[in-house]
Amino acid sequence: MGTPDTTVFVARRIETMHPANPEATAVAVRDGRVLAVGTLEECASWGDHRVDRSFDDKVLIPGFVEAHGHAMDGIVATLPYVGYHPYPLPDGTSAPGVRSTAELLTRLRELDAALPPGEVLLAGSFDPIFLPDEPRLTRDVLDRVSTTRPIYIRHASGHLATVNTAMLVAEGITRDCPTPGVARDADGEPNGELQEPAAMSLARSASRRLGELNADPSVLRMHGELCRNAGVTTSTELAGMFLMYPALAEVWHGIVDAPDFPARMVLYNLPGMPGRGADPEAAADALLALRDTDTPKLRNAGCKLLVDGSIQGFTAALRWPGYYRGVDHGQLLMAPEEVEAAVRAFHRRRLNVHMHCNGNAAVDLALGAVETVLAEDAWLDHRHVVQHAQLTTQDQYRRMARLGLGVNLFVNHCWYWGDQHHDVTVGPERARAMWACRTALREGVPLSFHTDSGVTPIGHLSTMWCAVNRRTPSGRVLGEHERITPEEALRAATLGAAFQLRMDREIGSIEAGKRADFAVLEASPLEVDPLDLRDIPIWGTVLGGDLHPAPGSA
Amino acid sequence: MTAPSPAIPVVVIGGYLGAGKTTLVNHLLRTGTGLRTLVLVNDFGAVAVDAELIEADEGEVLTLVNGCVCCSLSSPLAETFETIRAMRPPPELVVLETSGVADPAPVAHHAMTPGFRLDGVVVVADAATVRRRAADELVGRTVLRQLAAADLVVVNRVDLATPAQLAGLGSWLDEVAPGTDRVLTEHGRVPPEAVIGAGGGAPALSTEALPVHDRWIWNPGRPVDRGELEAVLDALPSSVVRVKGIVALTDEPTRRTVVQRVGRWRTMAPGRPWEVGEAPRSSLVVLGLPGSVDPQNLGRMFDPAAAAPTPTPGGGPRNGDRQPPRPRGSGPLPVWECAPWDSNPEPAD
Repeated sequence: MGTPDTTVFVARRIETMHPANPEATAVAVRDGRVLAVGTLEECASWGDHRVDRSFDDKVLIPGFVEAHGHAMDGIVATLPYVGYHPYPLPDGTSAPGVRSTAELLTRLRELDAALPPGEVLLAGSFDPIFLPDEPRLTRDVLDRVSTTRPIYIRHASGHLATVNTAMLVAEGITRDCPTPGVARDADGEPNGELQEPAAMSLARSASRRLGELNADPSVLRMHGELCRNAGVTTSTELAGMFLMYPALAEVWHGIVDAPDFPARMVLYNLPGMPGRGADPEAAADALLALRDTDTPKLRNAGCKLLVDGSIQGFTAALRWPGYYRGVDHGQLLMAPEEVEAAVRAFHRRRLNVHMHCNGNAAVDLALGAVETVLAEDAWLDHRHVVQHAQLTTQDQYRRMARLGLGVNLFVNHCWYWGDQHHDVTVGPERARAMWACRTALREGVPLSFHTDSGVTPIGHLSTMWCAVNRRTPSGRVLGEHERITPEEALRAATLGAAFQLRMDREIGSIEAGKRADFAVLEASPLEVDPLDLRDIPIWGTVLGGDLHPAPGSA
Repeated sequence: MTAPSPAIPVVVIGGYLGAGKTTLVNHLLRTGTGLRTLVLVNDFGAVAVDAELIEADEGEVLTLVNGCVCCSLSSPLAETFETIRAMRPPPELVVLETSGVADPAPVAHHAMTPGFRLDGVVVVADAATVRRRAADELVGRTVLRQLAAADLVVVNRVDLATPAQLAGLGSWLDEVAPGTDRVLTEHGRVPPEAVIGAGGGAPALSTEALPVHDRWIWNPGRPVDRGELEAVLDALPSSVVRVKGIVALTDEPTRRTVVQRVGRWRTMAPGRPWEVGEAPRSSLVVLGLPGSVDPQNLGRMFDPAAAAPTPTPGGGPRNGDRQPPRPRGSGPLPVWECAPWDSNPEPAD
């Protein structure tokens, strides 16, 4: 006999997400797929095999499926991070959160000391919404780090940057600068705050460097590592650029198809530049052609439409009565007619459409478009998905169910911005009804969660923790009636997401015939105290039968 | 160090989806502007010009014989403006078409970065549908925000609007887009000179001060001579960006004459008749670049046009009388020569 081509992994426990065989202790893998799952005896009965006891004391679950991620989250490895919450890094460590101006200064001084002279100091993800008692970040604060090196701090909202005096001088931004958005002090001098992209672009050295960092393909490699560390075996790029920049496809295939890249990547491509017109029919044809280049690890599943902005940025389109506090900058990025034309173009070609709708007015728009197109063309199993859907209302869930739409809820917001939504953006009542997981399940809407990786760190133990506990950093339970059980949450994070990607035939549960994609954990999410869910250590992943240990696990 | 080149004027064209932005841009491309113009369009596929106008067609870049170069707006705006800065020779004018739901104000702010100046924000509105759209639960705020950002509102498709839809449009625009100029047209047919030089100011972020024009108002006490006034309008310095108003002409005693001058282009069109017992009077507003309007000089230029010793019937206001200036954009909509509107030249408000 030659080398057996079947490996049987033995584990302390396997949560299969297969209702007929929910629990097992062994899984047989052949050719990267699950041959059988059950007891060691049952798996061994298939014949010649090798037993792998690496996971004897561990728990296997279906590999997590991140159905709304962005590969650019790998940029945290190259762009220094000054956000409020700690952010995991590809090497398994975390960038610490910045909780005060003093901590910001300490971090920036460290970075300044490590940089060669003359190089611009860039940092990202600063979020003053968490620092309401701190003085506004201006050039005076940053000048305490350096009066000679230009500094540029990008805010998490994407709408603001703060620079120091050295940057203002280097870029010639003076009191005579005519560009709106150059904020000023009482004397009319620029105070270092550059508001909105036009003013932000005045710091040209920083814009150029940020562009280079974004375009660096190593960001994608880092994303793969972040997935592995989080137990994610299938991730997504929900702002795929292949239709706008076709040359990117080859670069991505080169990275993702390599055996050492530890995740499958699924792309939902933007039909054109966000907020600009694009011919959806041509884009849909181009997407069909792109699919011919798909591989088992990298595929183009559908189209992404950006319908509105974000709630914490006050740019999401809300139904009446709008925002609780703060100025409403609610902005549709597409007209209803444009959404409908795009849905029609992709729907008719049997291509999945995922629509970014943070506000409930944007959800109304998306539902209207799908309803119109469905009446013209009865593709009943379309699985179009409303993404983020944070403020979706009860009536909208009922309508989604009837239209066959899925919902992918940005439930991580509960931890990352839950208190801000309660206190500032939408107020207590509507904050309690955000990410309405229980309602979605009750009304029969296919459910998954996401992290929007790059906006919050990738990892479904965190989304599950939020969906099950709905705790915020201040300690409140935000919306106890929308909590769901750990089992329902695990299903949403695996099979639920796979269903929305139209991949539930091959991933999302551990059962015969499916790909051998597992997350390897030290404890079962169905056994631990729900409040400990997000603290379960992750060994790494198995992808198509190959082991991908996280740093420190091997 | 290279010699500083003059700031490139940028015209931003906004308006809700389907209002006629592309039609207007196509019209501009066909007629040309007399300047080496870069036209950035939102949907390149919708560009329609006759083959004989095309000098070179390089896929996504169309070079026309009239000096216009048309291409697709396919990069982030900051990148696009960076690219234009590096062009040699630089364009003499940039026309930028926004998407159907874009707020033109933040787009216009890119035209206020080094190397550029905002020439104006032109917002196209569909005469028949704009008010319904503005009341729409989903898109109403988008439409209102666009109109509020305008220097010039091009009211398009007047041929398809009913008299009822047109009635009241002017005063409605006064409310939602105060301080804007108006043009009525169909098929996007607006002369380039009306679109160029429409603004000069900028829709600012709410915390920022608006750069404003200097303004001078001419209220002659006597009827105005047509030929003299035309000569004055043609002789104005280039720092004057806009002249508009109503005059009582000596050769048109029964009705108003609507005067418009935008850039180098002017019209004097017949307006509403004077009411019985109403004293014919004239009032022209002259807008210039900040610091460029010299009241004494303008007075010396304009006053002779009303110097004919014709007694004013009914004792109208005398030269030099101080009247409160008419608010910008109020009153009857100006009618442009290129937009024949036979049945009802001035809607009743």
